[in-house]
Parts: sequence; structure tokens; C-alpha cells
Amino acid sequence: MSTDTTKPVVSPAARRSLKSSSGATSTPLSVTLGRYSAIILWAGFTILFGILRPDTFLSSVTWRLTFSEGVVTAIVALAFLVPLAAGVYDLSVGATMGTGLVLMNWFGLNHPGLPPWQVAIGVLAFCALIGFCSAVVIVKFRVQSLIATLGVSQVLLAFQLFMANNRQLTGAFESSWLDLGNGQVLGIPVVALYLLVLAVLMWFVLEHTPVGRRLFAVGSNPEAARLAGLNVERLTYGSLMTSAVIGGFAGIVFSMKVGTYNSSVGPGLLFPALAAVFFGASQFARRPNVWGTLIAYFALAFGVKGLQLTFGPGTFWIQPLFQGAALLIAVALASRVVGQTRRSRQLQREAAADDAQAAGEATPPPR
Amino acid sequence: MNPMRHRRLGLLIAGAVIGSLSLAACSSSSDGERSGGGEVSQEVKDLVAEYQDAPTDIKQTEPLSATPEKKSVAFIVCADPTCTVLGDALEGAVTELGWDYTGINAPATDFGSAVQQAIDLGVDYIAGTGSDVATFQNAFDAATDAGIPYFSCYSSDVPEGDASNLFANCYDLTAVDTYSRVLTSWIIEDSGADASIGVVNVPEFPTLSNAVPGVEETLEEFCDTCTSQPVDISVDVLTSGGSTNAIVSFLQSNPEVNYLYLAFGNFEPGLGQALKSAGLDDVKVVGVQPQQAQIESLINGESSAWIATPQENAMWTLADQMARVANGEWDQGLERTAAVPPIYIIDTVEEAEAIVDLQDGWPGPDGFKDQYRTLWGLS
Repeated sequence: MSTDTTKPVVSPAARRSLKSSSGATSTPLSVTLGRYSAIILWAGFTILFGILRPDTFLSSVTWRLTFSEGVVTAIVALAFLVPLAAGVYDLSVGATMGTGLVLMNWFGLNHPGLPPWQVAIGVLAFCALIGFCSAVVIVKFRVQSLIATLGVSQVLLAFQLFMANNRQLTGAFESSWLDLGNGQVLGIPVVALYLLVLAVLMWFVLEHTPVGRRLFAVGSNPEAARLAGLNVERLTYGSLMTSAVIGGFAGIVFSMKVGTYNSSVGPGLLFPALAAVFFGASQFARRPNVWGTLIAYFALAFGVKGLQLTFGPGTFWIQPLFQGAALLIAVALASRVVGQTRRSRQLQREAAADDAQAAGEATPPPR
Repeated sequence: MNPMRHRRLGLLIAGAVIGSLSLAACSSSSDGERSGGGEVSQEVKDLVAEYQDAPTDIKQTEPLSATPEKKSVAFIVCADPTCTVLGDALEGAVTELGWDYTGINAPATDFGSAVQQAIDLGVDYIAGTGSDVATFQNAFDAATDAGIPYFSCYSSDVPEGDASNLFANCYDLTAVDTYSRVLTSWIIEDSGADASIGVVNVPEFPTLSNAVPGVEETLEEFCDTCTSQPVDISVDVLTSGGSTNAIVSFLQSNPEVNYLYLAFGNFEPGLGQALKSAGLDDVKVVGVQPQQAQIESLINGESSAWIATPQENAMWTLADQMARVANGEWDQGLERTAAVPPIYIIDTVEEAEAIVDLQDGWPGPDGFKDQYRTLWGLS
């Protein structure tokens, strides 16, 4: 049998029809805009509020502060991103951050002789253990990640309240430790540099190493990944442990920056972090990604900042509105992309069927 | 792509942005400028001087006719860490009377269920803090039906005894008025009658938002060259760590503001560092109800003055009202006398250092427990 007989013959008319209807050759403008919407939004806010409040919004103080204040939430968002790449939701990232913070404070108060950096290493190890426990619940007991990590977050909150005796912890650190979170390098807040280093590291691992590709493979289709020989369970363990370590790191950064534990600090960061990750996932490669997450987070943060500066404290309702709207828009965009993909596949199938029919009329079927 | 679809999307986004901006504009406040100062009246100076030293006496002076018989008390421990401290203090007070104490933890979103639990336990008295009766009306009505008197602190209801089944509300709005009057007077004196004050508050809680009119009224009375503006913080922003940013934004937008009045001490960890980073060191931070962190901030130079309100004394005040009900000696006038606590202004490093080691802040006047014991016929 010659190859010519098996090769589908597509008529020029059908090919034109397929291309024009599926958009195979040109990406729709709305999809392109959606892919860069966070950058466009950020630029729009900068222009708008730069015109409305040039004296304050465009000042270096505003930019430095907005980056500095957003660092911890952004790190929590990156913690959520890792397991999400593998298709696992870790809703305990905020509570893990709080656990890291309470442990830093507790050791600082009760064992003042221990250097904070040693405590920080212990905290990261403990957080890795938390991630391991979450993974055991998800992998061994087959509990959905959403439910498992929600439960873990409550256990962690209980742990924090127990450690803190339901009180605010303060005065645990020497000024040298606090300097690590409040200094500047060339006018850039040092905590922003910590975030940048973490982001570059995560970007490299997720986008340029086999581990990253495997995580995304598991995230897009765990069964296919399993059949392809990937150890899905080990990747789930690894992603959750990494997430918890990054969450603990957020707590350590907060201890450097503020130095005080309060039980509301960690869980309160969850929603802004989630909104940034989901909004970010609609950016660039249209899957969970580091730069999309950070740009989405800071685009919203600068939007809130601009409104606060322009319209005053009466806009206290803006922050939840922004985060909620971002989440809704992100999911809507993602659904739109999925819808377009489905429609495209359907059109391809229809075109292929037409072609096959046309080819069947022209050539005899293979034996 | 359908161009109509693009147009609709564009219109939708534009509409949302314009709508948001319009709404925001409606809620914006006007900028003000400082006048350059005026004269500080003698009345202000006297008022400040009156509260410069730690008080030595409790407010209640009327002794009971006899030590009350044994009762059982349930305290609703709210989700805020402060409530744990208050619960411990109330336990200490009622134990002194030889009474039984039960602490019941209330979920953050359902205070009433904990009140109902206390009713089911069949206690003699129920006490709680920070929640207005309206927020748990059904459970409160059930307590009334069961004949269990309710005692409160840090809320906005006015006790009417048998008429309403509410027999106490210590540190209520009248107390907030007093804090505002004293601390605003301190600001007037400290600024040389040249103050522009940002009053940071949470509108959802009347005992915090009442500071806004309290400061305004004091300025109207004592300082026509001073101004104030509210800095409203929502609970959501507070818990998601956004209040520092909101406060700093307010100060950036209102450079004339030179005093930040925190209606509640524990507003936001990290405010001091944020102000420093923003170059807003010249803004003086003052506030009410300092915890250990805020006392430390005064020592570190990150805040300037605090109204010390004694938490432990609050619960002994509550126990005192229970004892009066137990003896059939409850009187609204006496209850109102004790609603405003003994307070003083902490504005020096020495004063702060004297209480910085107290984890739960200043407990009350020296020997306040002995004073209550005397009132109760226990010493």
C-alpha cells in the first residue's frame, strides 16, 4: 500500500474553511490581549494614576512600599503555584506561612540563645514535614487535595494558637534580624530581592528542567503522565513539600520584616495569593507560571494603591473587589480559551470528516 | 472574531472602570491643610494633666451589703486573642467570690451558639465581650426567657437591668468618648493646637468607629485650628494584611496629617516600619488599648502616646456587677459609674518601660483587686 493512499487528502476549500473557522493561523485578538492583560492592566493603572496623582503614585516611595508590602503575599502565591502546576491545590499555604512565623517567634522568645538563622532552617524542615503530611493524606488516603489541605490548614491554625497561647507574640528578635527584612539595596527593598531570587529559581526549575516539565505533564493529565512512566505520586509529594517550604519561607521573611506573630496574618493572605495565581495562569503561556503570577499580583496591588491614593480611605472596599474581580476574570478567560480549544477541535474533526468523505469519493478505501 | 463582541467587551471593561472610579470618588474625602497653630487652652492642659499619672482607685466605691452567695458564671470567649486574656481575668475575679467559672469558646461567625451552650449548661450568669446584643438576638432572648442575666463589655448596648436583661456594659461607647477626649486633648497640647489627625478605625465595630465623632467633637470644643479625617479600614483588609498599605496611602495623599490616632492598639503589625520606609517618620502615632507590641513601639520611638485601658480591671468590674445582681443591689447609676475605666496616658519611655514586661498590658490601679475585695466584704 502506497503512502499516498493513506494520506488524507484535504481539499483547498476545506483547508480554507478549517483555517478560517478554527483560527489555526491567527490568534484571536481577545486571546492575545487576555494573555497580556495583567501587563496591560498594570500599564493602564500606571498611566491613569500617574495622570491623576503624579506627585504620589509615581514617587519612588510608593513603588518601593507597594513592592515591599506585597512580597510576603507574593511568596505565598508562589508557594501555591508549585502544586498547582502538578494539578494539586494547596489551600494550607497561608496557614503554613503562619506556622513558620509562630515558630520563629516562639523560639525567639523561649530560646533567645538560638541564632534565628538556625531556627529558620529548622522551620523550613518542619514545613517540609507539613507538606509531606498533606501529601500522605492526598496520595495514600486518596483525599481530594482541596479538602485535605483545607483540613491541614485548620490543624496548623490550631497548632499556631497553641504555640502562641492565643496571643500576639512580639519582641522575639534582635534588630540585626529585623534589618534583614527592612533594608534596601540600591533603593530596592531587600525583601523584594528575596522574592526575585525565589522567582528566578522557580521559573528556571518549572520552565527549564525535566522536573518542571514532569510537573506540568502531571498537572495537565495525571493518567497520561502515569502511563508515560512518570512517578506521579513522588511528584505530588515533592510539589507539596516544596510548597510548604516556600510557605514557611514567607513566614520567615515576615518575621524579618515585621517581627510579630498574629494569628490572622497567615490565613488572610490566602485569597490574594490565590487570585494572583489564577489571574497569572491566564497570562503568557496560559498555564500556572511564575512571572504571570507576580505580574498579576503587583498589577492588582498597584491598582489598589492608585485608588487609595486618588480617592482616599473611603475606598476600603476596593481591595476585595479587585481580588474577587481578578479571580472571576481569570477563570472567565481560562474558560474562554478552553471553549475556543474545544470549538477548534470540533471544527477540525468536522473538517477531517468532510475531507475523508471527499477523499473517499476520489480514491478507493484502503484494504 | 466578531467585532461586536470586542466592542461589548470593551464597553463592559470601560463601564466597570468608570463605575468603580465614580463610586470611589463618592467615598473620597477632601484634603485639608494645617492652620499653623493656635492657642492651647488651660482646660486642655488641665485635662491632660489629670490623666498623666496612673490612677490608684477603681471607679466603683459603693460596697455591697453582704458577700453574695455562690453562683455559676459562663464567659463567652470570642475568637480574638484578647478574649482569652479577658476570660482568664474573669475567672480570677469570680473565683475570688467563690463562684464557679466556665469558659465557652465562640466561633468567629457564631457568637450566639456559644451563648446557647451556656444557657444549656444552666449557669446563673452569662458574660461576653465585643458583641452587640443584636448580633446574637435569638440566643440573648433565650437567655432572657431562661432568666439568666447577661453581662457585657466593649459593646455599644446600654444596660437597663431587668427591663432588657442586660446588666452591665463596661468600657462601652461612653468609655470610648472619654478615651477620644483625653487623647485628642493630648494631641492638641503636643501639637500646639496645630494638629491634623487621621483616625484609623473599623466602621464595622461601633466601639472603634465611635472614636471618629469623639475626636471631631473634642476638636470642635477645644481646637478650631485642628482638623481630623477618618481612615476607615474594613475587617477584610485588616485580616488580609492590607491595613498598613491603606494607612500609608492615606498619609501620602494627605501630607498635612501629622497625627495618626489608632482606635485600637493592635491594628497592624509593621506599621512603624512602613511609616519609616515611606519617609513618614514625622507623623506621630497615638492610640488606645495598647498591647505589649505597642508599648514596645513607644520605647522604640515608633509611637508617641497611648491610653492605657486596664483589661483585667474590666473583668473585675463585670464580676462586681454580677455580685450586685446576686445581692439584689443592682443599680443602673452604679453600673454607669464603672463603665468608664480608670485610665492614664503613657507618653514617656519610662512609663512604657514600667509596664512593657506585662504581657497583657496594664492590669489596673495598684491594689485594684484588694479594693474590689473590700467592696465585696471579703477583706
